[in-house]
Amino acid sequence: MNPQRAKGSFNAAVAILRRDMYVFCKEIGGNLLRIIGEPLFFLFVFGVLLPNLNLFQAGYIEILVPGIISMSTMTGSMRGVAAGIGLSFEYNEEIRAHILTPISMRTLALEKVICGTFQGIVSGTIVLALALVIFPGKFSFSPLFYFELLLIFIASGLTFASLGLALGSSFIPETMFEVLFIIMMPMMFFGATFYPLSLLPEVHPAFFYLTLFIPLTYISEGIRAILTPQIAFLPAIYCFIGIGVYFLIFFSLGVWAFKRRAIK
Amino acid sequence: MIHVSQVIKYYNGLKALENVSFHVREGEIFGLLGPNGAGKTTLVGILTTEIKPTRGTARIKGIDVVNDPLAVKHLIGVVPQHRSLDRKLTARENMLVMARAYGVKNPRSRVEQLFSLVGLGDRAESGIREYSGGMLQKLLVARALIHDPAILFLDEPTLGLDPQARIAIWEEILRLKDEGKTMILTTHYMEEADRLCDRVAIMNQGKIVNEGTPENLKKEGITSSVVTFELKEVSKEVMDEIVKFEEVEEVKVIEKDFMELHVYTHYAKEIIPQIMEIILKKGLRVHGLHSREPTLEDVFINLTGGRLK
Repeated sequence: MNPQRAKGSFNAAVAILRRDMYVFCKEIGGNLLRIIGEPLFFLFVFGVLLPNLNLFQAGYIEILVPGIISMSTMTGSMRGVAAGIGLSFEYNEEIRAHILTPISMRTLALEKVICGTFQGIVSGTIVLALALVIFPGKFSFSPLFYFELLLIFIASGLTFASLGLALGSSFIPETMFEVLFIIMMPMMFFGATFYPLSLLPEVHPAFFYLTLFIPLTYISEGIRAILTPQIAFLPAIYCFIGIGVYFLIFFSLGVWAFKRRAIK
Repeated sequence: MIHVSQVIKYYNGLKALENVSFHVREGEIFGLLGPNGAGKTTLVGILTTEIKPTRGTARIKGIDVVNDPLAVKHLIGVVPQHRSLDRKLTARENMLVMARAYGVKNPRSRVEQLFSLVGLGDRAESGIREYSGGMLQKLLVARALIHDPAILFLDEPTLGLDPQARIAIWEEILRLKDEGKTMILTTHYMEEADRLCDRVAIMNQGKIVNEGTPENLKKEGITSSVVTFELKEVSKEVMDEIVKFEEVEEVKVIEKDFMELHVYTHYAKEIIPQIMEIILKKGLRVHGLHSREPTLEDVFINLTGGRLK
């Protein structure tokens, strides 16, 4: 791309990102409810209630918390982008004005992914903070841990916001609930969220291999590798490679679907 | 300024545009006139880079709209048919987002300037939901002007507006013409095209069926005046007798509240008393009579056989 056009496209992306962030902050109440509502319930029931009723073994919190954090980064980034894009194309139409600005469709798609990534990071950070308050002393942190966690939140946000972009550009809002349900449910329950991957190979080998195909597995295991390395199965580097592959697939798919929807 | 050559567009195998070619000169208002589904919005979509043509080329200031859409977007402003204003922002915020996206220097002062230009300065802090149809349309015009483009596309800019708001938008368009802007205006209002456009292309079923100045189109299409007799009923006998006059070019009956007998002639003054005599002799009552110059609607009916709706 000609450097002048690239600069114009970048300026437009920054302006639209600024708009998206402003709207996100303006609607912060509803956004927080959407982002942390679900993980909070999971934390309370599985992390507080059931262990207090002696239904879960000690040490389950260390397994559960990384899974819930990974889940919240996924829902935070994917749902916001999918619903936002779908509604904007179908009803609000402000995206049509953004398409008319001097921005390339690939850059506009990337802007939506970055905005979704931000929501995923916010979501993961809030759930992490809540977990630290609810379960004091369970996890110890060094500044390096925070840096590694931020990296994995970014990787998760980019991947699942890209998937949200692909879904939001491909389906009408009326069917979005069902589509998200079909995509997210297997991810939430088979993505090594409520159990560690390390226990599966011996007990359920087939299920273990299935879990390796779920992108959320690499986020859950990546966070475990940082927070609770004693129960993590995959080394962090494998997790980054796995999620990187999924990011490339979902981003290519997302840009293709977005371009197809934006330019008739 | 704008050159469109042999443009074809298919949607799922259906032809929306068929070999459309035209050009627009600098500083003129070029109208695309036609009924809903004629292909006007598709054509504007191609020129504004929102739609890709299946075949053919479209250039704006020599730049191909498919090969370099970003360069084209800097040259054009669009008042779209879709109300793509951001309902989560105020009017001022809407304008500021666009100003920044186009890289406008001093965005705030440019926004203020445009608000006062379109007379919305006192409503800049209002949310979009609080705006009336006319105000929204003015805001869309202001938004399209944010980067001071040389060319404006106005897609049905007065659709659904009350007469007062429509006149306000017309005045705005004429003011922009005085500033030297080149404009492409799509409309299905004859009066709008007649009043605003320097040249008009009449579109029907994806094709341009005629093109020229409104005056020339009227002269070429129908050279005569139209005399309308409003009657309760019209018999074939009456029509046959009227057609026999040498001065009469054509007779049409259009059913409205009354049966309207349209007589196309160059000699209205001479022929009216003679037709009146025939009608009265047959015992029919004339409820109204008027004579007028042909309009673009007559041209359209003549070219396509249908009415503009």
